[in-house]
Amino acid sequence: MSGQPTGRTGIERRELLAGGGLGLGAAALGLLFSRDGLAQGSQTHHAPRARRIIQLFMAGAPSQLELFDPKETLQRLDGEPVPDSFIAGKRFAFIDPARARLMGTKRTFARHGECGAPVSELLPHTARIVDRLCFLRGVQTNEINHGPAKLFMNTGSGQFGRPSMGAWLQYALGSESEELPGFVVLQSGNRGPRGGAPLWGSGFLPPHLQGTPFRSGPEPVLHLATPEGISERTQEDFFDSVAELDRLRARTTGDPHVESRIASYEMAARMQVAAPELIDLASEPASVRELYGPDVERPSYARNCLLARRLVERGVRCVQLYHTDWDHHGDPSNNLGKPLEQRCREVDQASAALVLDLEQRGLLEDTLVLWGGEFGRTPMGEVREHVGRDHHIDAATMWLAGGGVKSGYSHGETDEIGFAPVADGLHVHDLHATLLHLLGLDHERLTFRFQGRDFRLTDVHGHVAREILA
Amino acid sequence: MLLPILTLLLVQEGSGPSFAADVQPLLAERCILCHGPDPEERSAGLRLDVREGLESVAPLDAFGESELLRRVRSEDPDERMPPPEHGEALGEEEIAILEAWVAEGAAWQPHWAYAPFREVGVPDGDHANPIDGFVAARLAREGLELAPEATREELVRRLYLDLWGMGPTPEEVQAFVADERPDAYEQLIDRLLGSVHHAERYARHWLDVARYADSHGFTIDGGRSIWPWRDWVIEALHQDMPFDEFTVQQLAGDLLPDADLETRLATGFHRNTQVNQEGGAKDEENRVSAVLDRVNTTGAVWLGSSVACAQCHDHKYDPLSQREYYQLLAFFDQTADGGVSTGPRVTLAEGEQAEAVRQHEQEGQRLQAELRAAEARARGEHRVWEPERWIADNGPELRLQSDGSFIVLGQFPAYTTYTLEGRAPGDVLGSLRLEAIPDPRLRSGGPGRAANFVLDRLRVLVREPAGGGGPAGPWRELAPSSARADFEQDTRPDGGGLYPASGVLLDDSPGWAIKPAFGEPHVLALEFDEAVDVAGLELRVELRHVELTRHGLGSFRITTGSGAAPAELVTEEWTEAARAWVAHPRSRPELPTSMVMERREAPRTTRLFERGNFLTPGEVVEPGFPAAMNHIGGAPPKDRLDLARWLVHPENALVHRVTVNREWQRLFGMGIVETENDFGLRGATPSHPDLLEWLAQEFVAGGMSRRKLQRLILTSRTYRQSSHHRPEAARIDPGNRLLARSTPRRVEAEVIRDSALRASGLLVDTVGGPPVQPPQPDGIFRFTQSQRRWVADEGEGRFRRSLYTRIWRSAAYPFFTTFDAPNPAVTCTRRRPSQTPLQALTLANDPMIVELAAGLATRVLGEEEGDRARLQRSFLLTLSRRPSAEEEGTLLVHLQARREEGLDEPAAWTSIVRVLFNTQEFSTRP
Repeated sequence: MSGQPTGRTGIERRELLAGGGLGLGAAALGLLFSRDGLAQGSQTHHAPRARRIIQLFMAGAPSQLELFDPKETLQRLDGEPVPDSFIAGKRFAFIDPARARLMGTKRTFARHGECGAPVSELLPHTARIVDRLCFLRGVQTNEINHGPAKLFMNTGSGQFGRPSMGAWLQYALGSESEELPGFVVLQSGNRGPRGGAPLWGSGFLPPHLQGTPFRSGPEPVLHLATPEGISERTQEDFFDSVAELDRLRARTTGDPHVESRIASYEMAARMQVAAPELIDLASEPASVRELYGPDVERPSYARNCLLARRLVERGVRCVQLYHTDWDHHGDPSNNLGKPLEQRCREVDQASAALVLDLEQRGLLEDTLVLWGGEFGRTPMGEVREHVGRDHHIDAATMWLAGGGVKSGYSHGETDEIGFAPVADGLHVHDLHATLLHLLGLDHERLTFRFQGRDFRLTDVHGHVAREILA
Repeated sequence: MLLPILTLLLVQEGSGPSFAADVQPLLAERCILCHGPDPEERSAGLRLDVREGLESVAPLDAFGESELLRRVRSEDPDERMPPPEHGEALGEEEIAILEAWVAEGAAWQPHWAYAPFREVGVPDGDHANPIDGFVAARLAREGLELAPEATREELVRRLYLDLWGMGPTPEEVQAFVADERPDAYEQLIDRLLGSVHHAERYARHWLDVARYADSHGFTIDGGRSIWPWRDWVIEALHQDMPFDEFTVQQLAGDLLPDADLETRLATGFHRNTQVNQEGGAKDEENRVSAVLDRVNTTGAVWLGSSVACAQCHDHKYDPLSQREYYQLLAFFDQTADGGVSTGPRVTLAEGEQAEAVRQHEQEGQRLQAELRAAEARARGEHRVWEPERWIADNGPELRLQSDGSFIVLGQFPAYTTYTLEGRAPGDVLGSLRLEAIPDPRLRSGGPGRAANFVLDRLRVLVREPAGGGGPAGPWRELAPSSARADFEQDTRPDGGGLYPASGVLLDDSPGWAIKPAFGEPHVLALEFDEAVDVAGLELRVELRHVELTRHGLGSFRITTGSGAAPAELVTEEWTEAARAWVAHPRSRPELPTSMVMERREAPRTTRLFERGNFLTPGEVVEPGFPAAMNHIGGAPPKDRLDLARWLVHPENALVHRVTVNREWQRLFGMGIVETENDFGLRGATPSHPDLLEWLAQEFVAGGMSRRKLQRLILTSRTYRQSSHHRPEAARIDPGNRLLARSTPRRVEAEVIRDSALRASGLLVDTVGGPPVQPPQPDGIFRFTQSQRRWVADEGEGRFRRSLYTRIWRSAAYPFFTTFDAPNPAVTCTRRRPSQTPLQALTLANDPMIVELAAGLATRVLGEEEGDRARLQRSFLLTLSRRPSAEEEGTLLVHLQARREEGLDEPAAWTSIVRVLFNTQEFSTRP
């Protein structure tokens, strides 16, 4: 398998491993969760500012206009038609722009912290940590619907089949954990995020790089538990006997890769111990539980935030949390009234707690935390039974915290009605380029040859937003 | 580290470097990005991928110099190629290749993959099968020979895993080992290839290629019925349908002159694209994305080319322009499918079933005719008004039906007004009827979209039409004297309200509703005490709905008359006829359907998309074949049928190379061309170019029979080699590209499961039919929008072959994905096995595997007596061989320990089988 053309990137060794599958005995151990990634060596493209990333994905897309981006002019023009200059040639999912009316927010804002960032009344805990955050106020995407937009935020493409950023990161950097997958996905909310597994898929990268969705409940990874009726001793003997038979057989076949196979069984045995320990929160002191809030006692976003900290502590490279139902169009169950308030209550305290907890443990300096949805919401209201806003690809607000990012900083500014950035817009490709940069990777050099083309997370786009680098 | 190996593969025996094998790949790798087919990237107007360009710079000039060599050798950064900012200078070996080639005259050849067939001689030597001549000759150049033949036990196991996708039974192993006939091996091959189990195994390969799943994909991921197409594939493979026919039926079976149900069913191949059923999704965008996928899949599967690059710009390496890409797309642009709709489909009925369906349809037509007659009688002198324009605001769509009624589709907004305008009927308007019509497509038969409807306001307006140069006059609302209906909702006794007909005349009172009289026609009549003169005027009717999402009218008609409306607005006869018609579809016989391709009636104009974006259509393109790949003359192609026939034309060498290469890959784990879906300039060079060329021509000469091709390969010594490691060969060729042994490899997910099923004795080997749901862990669907529950089948469905397991695109069967089954979003022409601890956890702990282990243990306990005999039997059932003394010792110790733990015999033996299922050998094709 090593005959495949290589050598165009700084990362050819990984490509060898990837293409080689079981091809190289010496690299055998490395294939397990790709633990030998470039991180321990010198082959990141430059010195990394962060070593791991936690993405808090607000699936459904929260309204930046209710949370982070108040606009006086929009308040004043409430009920007015949208000036043509804004909407000519634009795409919207549901509303008819010609009939739509601008809609001011009903939420109260105040400026917080030394940086004076505006945060709405709905996020009091977030408001208290604004001096640790870097707001991205002009995030833009290409995709108007949830499924494709979530794919776009994760893979840089609205079509299925591309690797997610987490898979790219594992491909480039490997994992630092010997007992847990390098890319873990945690989910909360009423339903899974639209789009499912492709959001954390490995696309054309080797399948073992895909995210591993942890399940809530006692068994976070499928088949972690020893089958019912099988004793611990039997299980130990079982692993030993399998290894013994594999070694005996290799004496006949001469298979040089048998140790890699045995190592993967050994890691499986270790995971059986490590994963239940990971989700057992009994060792967390009351002060930590209080920090994350009462929801931490049951499967919830708050509990996932605490798990995220425990995962990165154990060397996991990339953790994604999805919290669903932010799609506030104005239906009875999805509007900017109670449903929005409820979503905010579910995530506010724990999101802030995660940043503070990481900071207290010295982890924040080399961990990135990213908060946001797949797109923004329109300055125009949507006519349904309740007040809502439609999908909006021209402006969303996200925040970043941690390794290598300015804190108490706002990047980008939207126009007077919050329709689109007037300065420092940040396209999703730019966001990806910037995140990779912070993790020590050059988005133009992190490539993989597939069907004759060198693919990148950022396709042929992307610029690093140097303004936000600390 | 790689370079020596590559060089080894590239340097041809005896002569200097070959253009195709050495020079062209080097140019492709280092030069073509800037000096290639893409005009936007091209520097200095120079192309090194075409003869003219290369001949302008490569050959020695009058002074004995070559510009190409001068530039690659230059140390001046302004002169050197590639320029420092575009890459490293060429290495010494690379320059040496170019020097030798220039010295020999710098002859140009077209890229080998796109060239017509060339004649190849079979190598000399004592080889019964020419394949071995090619392979042995190549090995000899490295001082190697073919490995010894595998043992008979290994061979029979290999054949079953490769050809059936499950291991042999001990009896099958024994039968072959003991078969002393000289042609025992050929007999075995023929038996395996002729079996439907082989067709099932190879159908799974084709399902990968076709991106098959049992759901529509995207976020809603509703279920779909396309499994009859899967069964078509099994049947076609079982019959060894020649590859040309196999291709033509799948790409264009609907367009064949003798198209029938079977050939139409075959076109399901390209209906395996996803359908986005999400609200707010844009129909055209989705249709286009499916069409693009069809082009890209066709490119990868038949042309072995990464055509997708040319969606946005001319291909940067291969001779495919953006225009040519859209010419390919034009073939696929004329189909009737698209949008959120999942049709067209065929219904599969045989014999009595078909007759029952026909009768049911006839009955439906009869009921509809009765209904129309009853409606007409109830109307009296009223006539159906035919508006000329209509719209519903805030999203719903009003669709005019052939009977003059409208059905309302699309979104459910809170507020919506249906507005209809047209010439006023007749001279005077005495009354106007609104017929609210039931329809089986509406909830509870309607007539509202929520079964019920609430019509808040019904306005009737007239105006002077535009004419004589003047604009139309202002709309003037008419004031009906009264409003009455056949039925008015009065839910006051239940705490609801009264919704009278008269409400539609007032802005601020409850409108007209009909709960609970659903599934029946209702009529509201507006009457004018004095008939209104409407001669020459335009009429406008507004149906306004306020603040009750979904409570719009679902189906309706407007009728008008010059006098009063009939006293009895809805007759009993009409109600009965409508009820019967609405109920009729429920009695339709359930028949399987399958999604198919169909030509669109109105032709579409295909345009190139600027930068690949469908929102920016560019010039119009006609169907056409890529020039560099086309060596076949003939009339300009027009439709999919022409495309399909061109693809499998005997002289279309590229397609046959790609096809035999994929067949080779199925049996060796890797193709002769490693990049099985990229035969372009940047694809891999064939490890055995002459062998590929010879095989492709044999394939065509053999009538494109895959079975003949398989038989040819399977009978070679090359295939029958031992797979045991050969350190001396591995040092020279670690990837085993030269085939100094058979390459062992982990088998696919389905093969692991099917082998365990078969060994346990639980396999149910019936063929075909709807997908089944064997057990899977709880909660797999928690991660999807739909929160579907996976109800595991009890009984046979648990034990069917894996290719019948239902595949949801958003939540695939976890056992399969853990073992690298492909994501059906895109075509997969080769699976890449990985090795992860999650696989170890699955095989170790998945209750399904434990269930099968227990099944096998029970079987062994019943079939044999004594530990050693049982152990031997367990080995034979799982690994197709007897254990060595040491293996036996290991397992006897394991068994003893279980007994000491107090386990009973079935539990202790289940533990033994679990160990065997988890050995590397069990999931390895030897």
